[in-house]
Amino acid sequence: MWRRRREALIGMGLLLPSAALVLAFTLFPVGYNVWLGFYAKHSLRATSAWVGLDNYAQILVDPDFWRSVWLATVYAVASTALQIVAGVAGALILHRRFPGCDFLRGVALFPYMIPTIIAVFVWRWLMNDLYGVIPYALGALAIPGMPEAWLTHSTIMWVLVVLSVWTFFPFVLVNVLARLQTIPPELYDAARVDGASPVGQFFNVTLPQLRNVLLIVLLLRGIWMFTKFDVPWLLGFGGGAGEAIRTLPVFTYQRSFTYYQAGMGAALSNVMLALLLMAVTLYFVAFPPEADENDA
Amino acid sequence: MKRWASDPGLRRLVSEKREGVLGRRAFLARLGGATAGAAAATLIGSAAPARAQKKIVVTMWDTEPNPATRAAVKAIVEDFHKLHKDIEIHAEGMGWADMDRKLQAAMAAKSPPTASHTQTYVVTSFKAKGLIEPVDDLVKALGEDRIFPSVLRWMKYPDGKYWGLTHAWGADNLGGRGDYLTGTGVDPRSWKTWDDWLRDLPKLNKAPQYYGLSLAGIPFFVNEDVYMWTGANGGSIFDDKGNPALESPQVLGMLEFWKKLRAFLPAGWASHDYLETLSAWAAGKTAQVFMWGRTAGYIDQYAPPDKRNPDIFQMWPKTIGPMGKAPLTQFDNEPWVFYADAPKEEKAAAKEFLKFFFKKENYRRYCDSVPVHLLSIFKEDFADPAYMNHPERKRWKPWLDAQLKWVEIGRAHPLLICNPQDMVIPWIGDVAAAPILADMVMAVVERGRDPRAAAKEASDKISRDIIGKAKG
Repeated sequence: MWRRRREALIGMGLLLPSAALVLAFTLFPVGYNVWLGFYAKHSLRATSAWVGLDNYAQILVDPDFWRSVWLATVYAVASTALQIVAGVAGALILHRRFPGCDFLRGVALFPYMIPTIIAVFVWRWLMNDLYGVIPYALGALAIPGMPEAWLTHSTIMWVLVVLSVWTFFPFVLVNVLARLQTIPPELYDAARVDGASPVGQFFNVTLPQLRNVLLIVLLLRGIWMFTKFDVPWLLGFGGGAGEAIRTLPVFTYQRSFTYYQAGMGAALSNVMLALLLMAVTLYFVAFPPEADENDA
Repeated sequence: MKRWASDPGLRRLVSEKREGVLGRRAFLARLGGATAGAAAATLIGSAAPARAQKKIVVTMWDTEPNPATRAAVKAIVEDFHKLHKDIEIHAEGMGWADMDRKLQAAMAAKSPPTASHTQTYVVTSFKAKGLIEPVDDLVKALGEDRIFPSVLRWMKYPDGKYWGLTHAWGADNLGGRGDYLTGTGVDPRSWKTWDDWLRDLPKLNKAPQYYGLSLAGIPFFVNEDVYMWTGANGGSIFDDKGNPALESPQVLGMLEFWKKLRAFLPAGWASHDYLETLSAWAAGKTAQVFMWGRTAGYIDQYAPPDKRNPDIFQMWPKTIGPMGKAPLTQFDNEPWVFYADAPKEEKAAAKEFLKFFFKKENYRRYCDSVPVHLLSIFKEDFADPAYMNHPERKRWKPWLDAQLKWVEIGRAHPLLICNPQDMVIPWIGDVAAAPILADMVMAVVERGRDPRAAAKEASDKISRDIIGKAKG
């Protein structure tokens, strides 16, 4: 009895540092943010006034907020879907052994390793309507209806999506490639014996085996793209043509740091958290995780 | 022997604790400080001797991060340290955006720098919030009579006090490519009104080789054009009570004018930042641009060597709207401000430093780091051959003259200040920081919205989201 209590105490003691860290670095900031959302607080002043739910009431009737939610959703859905497609395609290619494949596996990670600010500014230069290589090359093709400039209100979202796919698809690629390498070759042998074509093998063997890893990657990338601030901000600076990519995180940042409304900014980030929690819950209802056959 | 016994500082600390001189909390605080200090000394590879005297550490943030200016500031600080062993100046240069964010964080934490650069409209906001202190003693020590009245007027408030001191000044101008005039029959010197300008713009627009005009689409720079053109059209962004006046005929006229200019701008202008417009002008992709003296550096970087002169890169006149009487330009006159929450002895030391900084031999080094942009606040310098004969100032003399002209006619106003009375509006800084005015322009120029509807929406946002919040 005494020994079991002692072990329990030791166990709790060992858990304490982790619990304290979680409390200090996760729960406290979230709690503080929730608390701040009930106040009107100018970012430059140390004082604040209790406004209850006023910040939330204003958010719900603000068309700019709903527009930012829509833009964040478009960005998250389009860029995540294309990252999955590019990542899976890349992984399937790099899964095969061919001369230079190890080198290519390393190179494929480069976009993910480049600091965001460098990646975005390189793309800004590439897409610049006066000097950029890409508008110049596309212009030389003389395709009817091709825009003269790409960093404009009507096209900047597409640039943002393509840039984000280029930057973040290696994350998908690495995860999928790792899973591909653990699929038992016997499954493919059996499929071939059954007369499955390469396409049939992909849909009946590869894709089901990738299901769990794709669900996790989809979830993580979806959350990260919805909350992504640095890429849309650096591409559009929150205004001018950047108005068309003023996603919810950019809108939240502007409320906090350009309107100087720290309380409103906190309320917006709480709303963003709530939206994500709802989306994640729906996601798990729609796609419940399955036990991996290999784990069984 | 205990490990602390070999360190005299720790030995004294422990004995004070044992004797009851130090309480537990004070002991732990000083122990933490001593340990961190010892660790730092170990890291740099030497045990520094205990300081014989306490130094006053002064933190000063400025917005001149370019390498030449940093080198000049560093040299001035080092010379100051030789004379004032008891003061340590930490001078840090950063871009405007970084300054804004750092100041916000520092203010919220009630630990601002001792002094910093800021914009005139921010002086108003900070003053209204009780965050800064007047600097009359500093202005008087330098000599009010020596400083351009056009510089001082934006620092002196209705209470009769100076709330900032301009570090250097410059004025915005319309730069035009002289070589693009050939064969067009255009004489920019004849331009007086917006209509004159619009009449000749098609002749200067040879898209896609080069465009008639380049503007920056980033909100901060859109704000510049909004207030300059509204002011040139005889209006203001605000009424007498500080409420938005965006539905006034002058502002609506400005928006209509912008719509007409759109035909001569590059297709991607709304994503261009200010520096992109300067390099476009230097590289020949645009005939005209709104620019500052520091553009000379871009010309030397991007323009062909045979074109790097004021005959090619000319100063053209800014024009007047149909309801205006005189053109208006932006005055770059960022002041040093002193923060109320900074310790008194730090502020006194910072003022000592600025007195040293503004001494002729030191200030000249600073101004010479960007010779055609960081212009001296002292009138006497413009009569001093040593100042005027700096090779860059001689080379770009027409640019210097164009800037001086604005100061002489008193039509160089700080950002968002169309009329002198606007500078006391406490929320002017908040309006400048928010993207509301830029959104209004984009709605009209890029999305084809009716100017009146866009102006009303912007007015409502300023009233609700900025003035409403400020009034609490």
